[in-house]
Amino acid sequence: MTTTTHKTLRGPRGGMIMTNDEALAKKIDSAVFPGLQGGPLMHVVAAKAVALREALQPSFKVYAQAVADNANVLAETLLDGGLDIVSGGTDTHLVLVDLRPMGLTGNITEQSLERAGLTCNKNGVPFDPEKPGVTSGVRLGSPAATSRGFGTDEFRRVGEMIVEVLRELAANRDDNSTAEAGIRAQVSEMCQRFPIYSDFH
Amino acid sequence: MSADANIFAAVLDECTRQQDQIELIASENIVSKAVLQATGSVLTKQYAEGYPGRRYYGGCEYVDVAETLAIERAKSLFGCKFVNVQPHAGAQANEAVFLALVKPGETIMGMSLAAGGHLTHGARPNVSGKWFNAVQYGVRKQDALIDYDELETLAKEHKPRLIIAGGSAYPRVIDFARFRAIADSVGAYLMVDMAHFAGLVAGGVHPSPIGHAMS
Repeated sequence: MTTTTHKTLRGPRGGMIMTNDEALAKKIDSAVFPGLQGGPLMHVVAAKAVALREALQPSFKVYAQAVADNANVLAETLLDGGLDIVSGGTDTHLVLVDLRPMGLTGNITEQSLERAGLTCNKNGVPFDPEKPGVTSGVRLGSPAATSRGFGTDEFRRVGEMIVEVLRELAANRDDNSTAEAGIRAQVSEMCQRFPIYSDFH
Repeated sequence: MSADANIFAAVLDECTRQQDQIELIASENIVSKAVLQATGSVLTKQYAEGYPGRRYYGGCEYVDVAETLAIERAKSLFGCKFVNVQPHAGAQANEAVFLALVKPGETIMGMSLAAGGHLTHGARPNVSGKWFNAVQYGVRKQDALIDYDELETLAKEHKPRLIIAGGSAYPRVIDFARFRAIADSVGAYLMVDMAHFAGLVAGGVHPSPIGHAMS
């Protein structure tokens, strides 16, 4: 098994390899060093240890359940708002929106949501007719906002805000600034209610 | 801070951006201050080629403590016996597995980028698509779920050395047992890239691939 340590695992940017097979483990160790890499980034290795300790706490089970619940609520809210979700929903932290029924593409949707304070990325959908720089989808995920304390109420609201931005964008493709500014103010208000790194500056 | 005002300003601006936007990128998160502190520590200058207890540099006794803790914690979190915590990122972790198990020109199978797979699972622009004969499987048109029948047919046809399960935009639970059975039927290694859902496995809300992968 391979993984990164910085996605749902909530650690520093990095990777990890796991196996139960001793012979494979030896081959993998030799492949990582000296095969592929030189010295490891020990500050990152230490941060991985810190994050793994956090993930061993009972509170991380609560977090993981909230990530899954929040993604589910987000998908349901988007479906209720008339959006098309790839595979009809989610089992995980990830929701892939198919924008084709709305006549939108991923690139302009990502930009409009970004101006509204909702950061996501354009993403291809299965059998996407658009080029990778355009795409017919946006990929959404719950891990980061769940870490700042968003629950299902907040994710329902996030879903409603996304629906509003997209509907307005479909009607005002050249200039969606009115809807973007309205949602931007609500996003700032929500972020202030769930502060992160508040003692940094 | 005053040593480099330009970079400090960029870091502050990024902090403000994280504070004032709702981050919905599925591959990102917000880390604890303890994680930030470790990444900003004096360990950053240290050379530690090798593994704990067998390094090619002196002065590694304390970084050995850190790496051993990372390994032991990962073992207990995921219930596995052997862990390598050194890959710089997920791409390097995947490449290391390829280097360990597959020779250039041999066949690997992964989910296509278009279907929700990852660049490092055999996509053409990536080394995994250039140095290996990369066969790509996809999802079904009717429900966007992995096409396990197609996967099985392709595996029997191409006899891959390694099959990869996992992706970067696949929202559903993967049937690891089915992958294992298909890999066994053609004598292939099965690698599960759980980068996206590792935290869900750790938190017990997603099936663990550990019993199925990498043997």
